[in-house]
Amino acid sequence: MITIIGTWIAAFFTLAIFSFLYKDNPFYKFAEHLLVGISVGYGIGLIWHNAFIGYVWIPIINNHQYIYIIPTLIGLLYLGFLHKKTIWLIRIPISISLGIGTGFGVPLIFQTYIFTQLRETLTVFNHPGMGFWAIVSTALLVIGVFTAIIYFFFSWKHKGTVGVLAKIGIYFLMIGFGASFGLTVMGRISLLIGRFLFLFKDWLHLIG
Amino acid sequence: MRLRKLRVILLMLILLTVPIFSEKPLEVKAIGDLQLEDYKYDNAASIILKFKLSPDDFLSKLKLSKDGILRTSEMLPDGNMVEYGLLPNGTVEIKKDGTTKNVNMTDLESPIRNDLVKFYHIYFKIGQIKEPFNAEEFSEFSNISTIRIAKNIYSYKAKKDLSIINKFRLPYYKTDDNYYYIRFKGLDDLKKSYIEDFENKIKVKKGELTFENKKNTIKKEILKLKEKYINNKKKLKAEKDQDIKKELISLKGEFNEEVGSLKSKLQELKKKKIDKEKKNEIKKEIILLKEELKKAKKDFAITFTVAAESKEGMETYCELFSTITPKVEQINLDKLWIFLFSIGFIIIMLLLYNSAKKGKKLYVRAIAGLSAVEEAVGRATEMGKPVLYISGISYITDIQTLASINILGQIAKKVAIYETPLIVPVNDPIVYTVLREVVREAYVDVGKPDAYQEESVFFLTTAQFAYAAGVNGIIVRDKPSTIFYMGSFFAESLLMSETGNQVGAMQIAGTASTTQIPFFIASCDYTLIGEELFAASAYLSRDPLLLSTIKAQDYGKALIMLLMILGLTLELSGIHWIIYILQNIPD
Amino acid sequence: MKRTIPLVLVFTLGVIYFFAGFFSNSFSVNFLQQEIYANWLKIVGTFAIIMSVTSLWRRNYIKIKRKAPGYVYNYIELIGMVVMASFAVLLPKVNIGAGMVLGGIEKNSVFNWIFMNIQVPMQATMFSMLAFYIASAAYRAFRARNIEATLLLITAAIVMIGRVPLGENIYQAMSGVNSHFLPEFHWAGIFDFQGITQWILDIPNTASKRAIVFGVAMGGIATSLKIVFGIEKSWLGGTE
Repeated sequence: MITIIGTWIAAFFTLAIFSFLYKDNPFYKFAEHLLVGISVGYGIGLIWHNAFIGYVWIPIINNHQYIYIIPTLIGLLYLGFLHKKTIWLIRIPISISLGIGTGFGVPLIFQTYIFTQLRETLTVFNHPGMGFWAIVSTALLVIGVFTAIIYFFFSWKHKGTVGVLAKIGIYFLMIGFGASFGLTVMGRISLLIGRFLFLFKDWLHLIG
Repeated sequence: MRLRKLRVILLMLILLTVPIFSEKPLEVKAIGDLQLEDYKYDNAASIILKFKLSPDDFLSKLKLSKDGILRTSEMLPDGNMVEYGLLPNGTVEIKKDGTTKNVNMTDLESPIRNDLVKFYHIYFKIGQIKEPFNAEEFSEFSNISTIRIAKNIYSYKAKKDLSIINKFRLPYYKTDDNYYYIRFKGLDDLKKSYIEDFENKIKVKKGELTFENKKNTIKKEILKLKEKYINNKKKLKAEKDQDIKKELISLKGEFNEEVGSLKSKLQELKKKKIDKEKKNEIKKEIILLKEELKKAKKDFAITFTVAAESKEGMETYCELFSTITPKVEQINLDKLWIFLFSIGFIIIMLLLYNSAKKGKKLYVRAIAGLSAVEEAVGRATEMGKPVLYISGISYITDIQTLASINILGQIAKKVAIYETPLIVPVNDPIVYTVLREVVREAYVDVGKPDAYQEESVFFLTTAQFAYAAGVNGIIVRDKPSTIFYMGSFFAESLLMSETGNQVGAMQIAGTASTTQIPFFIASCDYTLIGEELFAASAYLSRDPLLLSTIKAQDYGKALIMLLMILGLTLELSGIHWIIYILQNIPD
Repeated sequence: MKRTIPLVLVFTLGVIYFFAGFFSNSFSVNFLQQEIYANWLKIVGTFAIIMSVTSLWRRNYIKIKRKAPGYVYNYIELIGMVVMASFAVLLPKVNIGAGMVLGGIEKNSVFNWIFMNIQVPMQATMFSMLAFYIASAAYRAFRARNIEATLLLITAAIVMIGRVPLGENIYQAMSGVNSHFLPEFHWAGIFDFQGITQWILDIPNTASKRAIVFGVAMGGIATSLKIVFGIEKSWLGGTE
């Protein structure tokens, strides 16, 4: 019984959200506001049970790991948000997260983005037995990387030779974006089919 | 000024703590045909082992195990590498040629062979993924072609990627050699459990010694009881009560009873008492254990097994037992180049910053999307409609979000000058508080603090699609004439930007999320691609100090291009040292 | 003071963590990278929920108080949040029949039931609506008559066909095609959508992604350093 009610409710809200495709209407407004409210409530529930109980309450109260009082106190500085005079206190937890994140990030970006990509680019010709077409393609790959980087140079005006190279670069970028676009389409359609299957199969039992 | 001095002092202090690099040799005891040729510490938690197999053609699978627990990676002879343990618990659904296989990831003896590589990266991505999962974020890794994700089931088809094995080939090798490399991960976990074992042993030993302490506490308790008894006696006598005798008798009885039970406890303990010699022995043992623990904390020994299976099945295999005593490196020398590059970039940036401070003018080319910002804000003012600013759906520690915060600072100033209404629904609570202050400050900056409206910046929800639903509602109801999308975006990008397009808003987007750029290009008037997002705030502010960092970015890119030209030229002429350096840098 | 403390913190921690990545001693790996980076920051972040709840409450309260148009829906938003949160946090975990539990966030709790039957279907529907939006976006790109948009769309179309069985069917139907003009040329090859798609993904797509990654990396590093060195201070919010 509870499952059937659940399916009907789910179907109602599915249709309510779909109705936005036609135009904004009270059903969509109702669904949208409920979704926002519920999702925040869901976040509260998850954080309370998984984060607060799991990382703060159990370690400190049950396991006596009092060291975790320090991050708890830092986190409590977010309460400074509630009053105009103490609002600057929230900068402390923010600055701690930011300092750690950015400081740790710099070498990591060098490592994972720049050096890895550089290595992959430099080894493109290192495949024994490359045919003519493979060599041309690989050369094209290198040209693509070069010209597209030139597009991103901010110190140079896009005029003359630089302009031409940047233009070629943007063409490569566009082909890349087109590929991303094309790859995503099927995934989105299958999602839509999934929703329709829910409506016609699970809810209306029109298809077996 | 003081701040700068403090920085220098801090920098010096940190540099002074750099310890000296040292590494201990590996002890190897090999049995069978599998020979350990070389090894290399990758970082604190892993070691790469290099094997030679003879004969090499009988092998189909290399397995690595430690006491049957650890089997984190598997290098397949055809060049593919499978890493286990790093996946989250759950089922992996593998599709190949129309057939589907479900593999339980806790089951390390999985039938995965040649189709899957780079689990590690997949895991890495899952950590960042928002709910519900974004399948397309995975496809960014070029070796994985299709992925479908539903609840806990990840399914993907991966291409063979020979570049992975290349990473483990320390010098530059031909593809047809007979070496195999294995990365042994989780040394840190092993060490942890090893140390915990020692600590437990010490605890047990210490427990045997506690007898002494117990005796002393019992004696103390008896003394306390005596004191109490005497005090009570005095009190009773002072009151001169009629029934004093009865009370005294009962009091004495109670006292005797309590003391008696304690004394019997003491006797029991005495029976168990161990002589001094034994006590000293235990103490010595504890000291030894503590010394060992100290050693173990520095380095520890593990034995592991590498088994090679034949192609036919389990018939032939050989095993290798090696005891390694890894002394973890203090400094990761593999990362030396990263260090040098980072420091180099920092120096370039600070030099440019200083020269800008001295008043040197720096040229930055026009960026179409950003030149249009003025027009976009002006349009909203003319139409008397609000400007909507979407700051992406990531956390404050995301560099894209940081860039977005900086951009809003500039846009809010322009909006404040014209007193155009501004709507900023935010996805993350921390980002929300920062943006609120940024906007308030912008109004103060241009001298219109009264025009600032408290509710123009607000938190909506962290849930990805709930956020998109809410923003769509705002777009159709408030009909903003200008919408900015700046920051980190996922699948929801098109939901918002198409709705914005339908209400006829002028839209300017900027993101470094490559999977979303095409959708912004299709639905927005202007799109800042990748790095342009990071240049935007400096560009909009026209502050020469900030513009100097854009210059630094250009120098960095120029360096990359130079390295590419040099590297390719050297590679093509058969000199491989740049690749050698790059391949030693861990992923 | 209100600005100096955060700026000093950002700089100090930024420098420490910049170096932490290069050290593999136990202090760096187990304490800095594991304990603080993984555990402490998680705890600190937990408390940010306070701000989300107060902001949501304040925004809806103001609208209701002013009786702004459509303020009824603000009640719904508040009710949604309060109901969800109280099921998770306040109500006891008692059995209410049909295998359900009143409080908590377990699989058989009311909280999870609401999530699975209201939030999940709505989110999935939002996600699936992208299919329509992609179509309209593609149509718009089709109408924009410049080279960039055309390139994007053509590539998208080829990749799309190359990814579905249709592409394979076209190739097979065309494999018999031959021409008297240039007889040695493999004409059917131009219909090999799968092969072309693979080439697009391997060559121009890889080139474009790599260039973007280099740029984004430089931009990201510069943005991070600007914050560590206090060149960019807008994250502080105010100037006070």
